[in-house]
Amino acid sequence: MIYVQVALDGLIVGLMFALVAMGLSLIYGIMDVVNFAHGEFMMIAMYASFFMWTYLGFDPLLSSPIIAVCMFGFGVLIYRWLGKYLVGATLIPQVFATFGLMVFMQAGANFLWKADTRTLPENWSSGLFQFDGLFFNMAELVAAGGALATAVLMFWFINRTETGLALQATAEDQQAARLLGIDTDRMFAIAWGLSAATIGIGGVLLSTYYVINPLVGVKWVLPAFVAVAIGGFGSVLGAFYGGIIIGLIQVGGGFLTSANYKTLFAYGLFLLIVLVRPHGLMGRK
Amino acid sequence: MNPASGETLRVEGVPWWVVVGGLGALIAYPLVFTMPFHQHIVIMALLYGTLGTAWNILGGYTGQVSIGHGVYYGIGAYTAAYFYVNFGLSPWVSWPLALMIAFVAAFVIGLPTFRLRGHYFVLASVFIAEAVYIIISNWDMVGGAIGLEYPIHRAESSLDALWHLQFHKSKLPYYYGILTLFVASVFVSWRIRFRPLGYFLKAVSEEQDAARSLGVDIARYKMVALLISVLFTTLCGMFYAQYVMYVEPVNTMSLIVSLEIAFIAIFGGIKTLWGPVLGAFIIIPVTEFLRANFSGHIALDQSALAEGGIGAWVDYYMAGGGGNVDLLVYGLLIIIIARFQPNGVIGFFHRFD
Repeated sequence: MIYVQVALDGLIVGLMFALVAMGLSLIYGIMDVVNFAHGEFMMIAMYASFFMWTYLGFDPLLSSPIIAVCMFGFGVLIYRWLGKYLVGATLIPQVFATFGLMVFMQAGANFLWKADTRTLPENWSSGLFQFDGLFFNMAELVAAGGALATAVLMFWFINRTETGLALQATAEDQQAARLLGIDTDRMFAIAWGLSAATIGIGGVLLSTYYVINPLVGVKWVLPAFVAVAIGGFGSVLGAFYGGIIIGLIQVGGGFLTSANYKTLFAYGLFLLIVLVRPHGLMGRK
Repeated sequence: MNPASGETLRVEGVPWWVVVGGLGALIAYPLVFTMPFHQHIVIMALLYGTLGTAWNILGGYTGQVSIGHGVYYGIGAYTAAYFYVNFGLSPWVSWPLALMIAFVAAFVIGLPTFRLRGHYFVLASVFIAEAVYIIISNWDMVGGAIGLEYPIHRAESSLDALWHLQFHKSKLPYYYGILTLFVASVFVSWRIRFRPLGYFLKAVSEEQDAARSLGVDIARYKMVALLISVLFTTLCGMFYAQYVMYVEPVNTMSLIVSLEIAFIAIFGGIKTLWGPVLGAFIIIPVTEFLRANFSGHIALDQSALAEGGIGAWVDYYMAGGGGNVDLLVYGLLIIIIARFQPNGVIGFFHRFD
């Protein structure tokens, strides 16, 4: 029974990782840029959720669409000011521009809100959920459900809408997409916006049960990079599966050894994968 | 360097008298500026100048962008601290051990990851460093997350102080110690470029495939560059441990330390001799000054809240109150340089290209 519990816990955490990884992979897929500040996008969404709850009394259900829209705008803004200049840039400015953004946003959060950890007060999603000898944190279940719904919505968008298909065309071949009359600059901006919006929703969902502090983003994003690698850099669906694998492996590994070491399993898996199969399990190239 | 042409002798674009003058100024500086804080700022700049130069030998000359140099820095710091705290062994004894551990680590890390390119190498270096960080943070023998604190040694004579490498009355020994290391690293970084090794490294960084097809043993040259880089990084770690007398995972091997080391070189300008030096002497004084002056949290009292106004209300409840200004500026500087001058500050001086 305990193994069923561990597997389900892993799946629940994995859906969250999947959501984080999908946004990363979307940007990488379309413009070959790794956004190291992705976790900090999530961190500010978590603070936004916290402040909306404590000052305005907005329930996460109510605040998540508002935050998603704001984060979309934020993502577009960051693209316009920074991301745009990284397309086709050499490795070093590309990597360090977003690393710089990461340091800046972490320090900014520290500056404005201190390093203290915050948590949302008890709310409707608090409490335990019991089913046939299995125990779940209600909020985690709700968050996992929300992550799944967001992922489905994103797949629907990129596969079923015209804009989504244009995004895919741009990811496939920028030159050809431009010849077909697709405004690739606009597509890049939309990709950044979407990426930020999904991680924004992720942040709101996570804020209902997870601690909020300036460094929280790194904890979720570093393993999510592994998920992106598992799925093959740039594959959004691959990143989704990769996220679930990471959840399972971290919870399973943590269960077998100690919770302190759970991330080691994800990092080890990354090295194994890039050394054996450099393009991931589902990569294109 | 072209003495035959009758022009001034230059060291990588800088006239020789500027180099000699700069060195003279560095030697004289602590004798003129005797305030501990003023000396501390330059000690840190020299420390990071050495780290940036060491990083540049790998990251710049061979193009292997490592964001995991905290591992070697940490190995140096921890080896020095562990043997001193537990056995009273001075770094004079433990340095060969630290280097041995660091070189073994470099082999174990370098051999498999040098096959990776671009983002894959960057991510692999981050993950390996994070994994080491997690293991050290949970390893009770080296103090776990708390780390190791040096016992204060009251020296009976200056020779005794030199043996223990603890100087409490003056910062001068630390200053000249790190200055020596700094000069050595810059010298090595300079001379490398005129040796076959330097040409091979350049070939590896610019045209890896072409170099390989010409029979250049790429993995070997990358490894040599890594070992030279690790040598200085590890010694810097040992220096840092002796200097602050306190070693913990966060200040020696966390992601931010690895980033800072790379940032110095990138900010100043990689692939150049003087870039990392310039980077360290611009960034470190600014951030050290900010850290010293703006790290406290501003205390806000209840009465400000009672007086009302949305500003007071927001201040009180969100109240971070201004810590971390140094990192705020750090991040901003890096973003700006990556966005506007990817060649680093040195890119503003065209003749140094």
